[in-house]
Amino acid sequence: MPLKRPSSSAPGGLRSAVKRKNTSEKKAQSNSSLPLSTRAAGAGGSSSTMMKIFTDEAQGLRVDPLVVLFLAVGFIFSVIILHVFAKITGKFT
Amino acid sequence: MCQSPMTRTHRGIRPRLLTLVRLLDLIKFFLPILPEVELPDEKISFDERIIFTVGSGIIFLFGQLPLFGLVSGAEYKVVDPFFSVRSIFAMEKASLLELGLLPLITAGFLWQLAAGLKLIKVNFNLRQDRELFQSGQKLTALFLSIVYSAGLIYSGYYDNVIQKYDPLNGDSAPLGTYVLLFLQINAWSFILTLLVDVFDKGYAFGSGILCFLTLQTATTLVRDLVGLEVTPLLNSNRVESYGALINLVRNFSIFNLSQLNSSIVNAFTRLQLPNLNQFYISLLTILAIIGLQNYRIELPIRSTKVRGMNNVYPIRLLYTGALPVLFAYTVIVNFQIFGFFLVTILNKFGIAPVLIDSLLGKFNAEITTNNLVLKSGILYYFSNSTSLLQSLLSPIKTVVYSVSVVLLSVWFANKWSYISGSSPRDISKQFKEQGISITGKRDISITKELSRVIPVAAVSGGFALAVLAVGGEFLGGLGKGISTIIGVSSAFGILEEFMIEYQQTGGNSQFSSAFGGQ
Repeated sequence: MPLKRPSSSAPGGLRSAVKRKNTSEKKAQSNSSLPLSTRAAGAGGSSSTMMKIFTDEAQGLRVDPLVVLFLAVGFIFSVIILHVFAKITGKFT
Repeated sequence: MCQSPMTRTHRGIRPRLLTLVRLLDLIKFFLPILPEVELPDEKISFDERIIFTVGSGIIFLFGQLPLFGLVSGAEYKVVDPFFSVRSIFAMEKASLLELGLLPLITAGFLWQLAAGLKLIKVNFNLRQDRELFQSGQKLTALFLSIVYSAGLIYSGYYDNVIQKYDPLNGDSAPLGTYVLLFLQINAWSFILTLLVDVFDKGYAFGSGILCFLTLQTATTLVRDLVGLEVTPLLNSNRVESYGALINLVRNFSIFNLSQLNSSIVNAFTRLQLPNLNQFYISLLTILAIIGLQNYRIELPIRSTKVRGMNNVYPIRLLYTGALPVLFAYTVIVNFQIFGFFLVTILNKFGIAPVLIDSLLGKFNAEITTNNLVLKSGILYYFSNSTSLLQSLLSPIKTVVYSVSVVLLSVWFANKWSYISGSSPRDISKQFKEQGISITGKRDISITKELSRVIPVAAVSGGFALAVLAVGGEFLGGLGKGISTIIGVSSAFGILEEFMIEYQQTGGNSQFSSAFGGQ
């Protein structure tokens, strides 16, 4: 079967120069643009529906998650104890 | 002619401007003292993730403990300027959760939008920049929490509920109690930041912020309906139950049918405690979101490697979830809070009281509810109405408020669909990596095809949710409708993550053997 070429213009020339320019511009743009978020860079963080503050990295003073939970429970208990003491001392004075 | 593309591309690469100090570099000084949850060494098992989620959730709910140093029942006596937005950010009156998640959410949106809109220079390809970026959010959250709590204490928010202190009696300012309150609120904010960190580092399901908001919404919805505790009404000798339905049932008496009408009306309209009106708005919102969640466009995709592998790629209407609404209210609430601080501080110094009243805003305390309601000024136009009657009586305010919420969320939805890492370009990159193409389209035009669908879906989804939120407020939802929107759509996201994890690794877990039914 003979191949049909739909384009009427000659190969090369003005039109393909414009096309080449456009694609090269686009390529340059996409190569030079940096990711706009941590997830776009592939490191976790906020997704389209989930608001996350922290990413998949840790630096600085590292703590175990269990330490955090115990810290929270300890704080809660200290506030409860303060309340209890206030109630007890309030009864006697 | 041939020269022009060359010059164009050269001009595209601009010389980097030397900036002396980046905002990010300032955070380096705080890095060694900022605690951060370490990453899991090995993959967290399904059971462990459930335990972490439930455990942190329960600890979060303990934040509703009343602050030490206040009189008992302070939550009913505090004169409250933020009554209508509390439920959105889990801000519980006169408790450790006084600020709720507001500092965290504000800090997160500030940094992520600033980076996404290229207002600050962050190179997310560098590991160090990403670490500085997350520490920056944490620091900002702590800083905001300090600012909010100091502002609240300074503006005299707690003055009429502090133990053994009567401002009218001429007592000296209770500095010790102020310091105690300040420390309690900020310590809890700090612990909350770490708890959210535990979630976000992958120990639990979903994102910390949204999971906590969901939990708070769910528990308050139940408590608002069937809360059993009886509370004395302000400036009256009557008591009422906390739960709207319980109160209605308790007031119902067969011998006194003439009172039935008034007690039903009261159950729907009372403002000092949760009412049935808010409950029905929440219920309708839940149904509407479940409906909206199902709308999606399915793009036919095919594998470029294997012949005959066809599938669909769904793009949801709620492409950005409830984040647009959350963002719109973050802006509005921050505006309200800083406005409140400004008004009270200016009033304290007595600078041009008439001008402040008419320009900024005038707060009036209502006798029956102890709510500080705005009466005039700019702040007034960005506050919600307490009932349907109020919204009808002040049409300009209703329109300004509604339009600003809708515009903010639509703007955010559009921006977020490009910067959140699921933009058309990111997805077409994923497609290429996985050898997927849209049926009937060439590889190059995938981005074009996706960017015809994704921003439109995001914007219309954001618009639909904003209209739902504003509609609930118009009917007098007082923030309950909005918190339901955020809670339910976050719950869907968390559930999705849970189910994916369950299908992948949940087969041999304790959870599935306990609840699997086999």
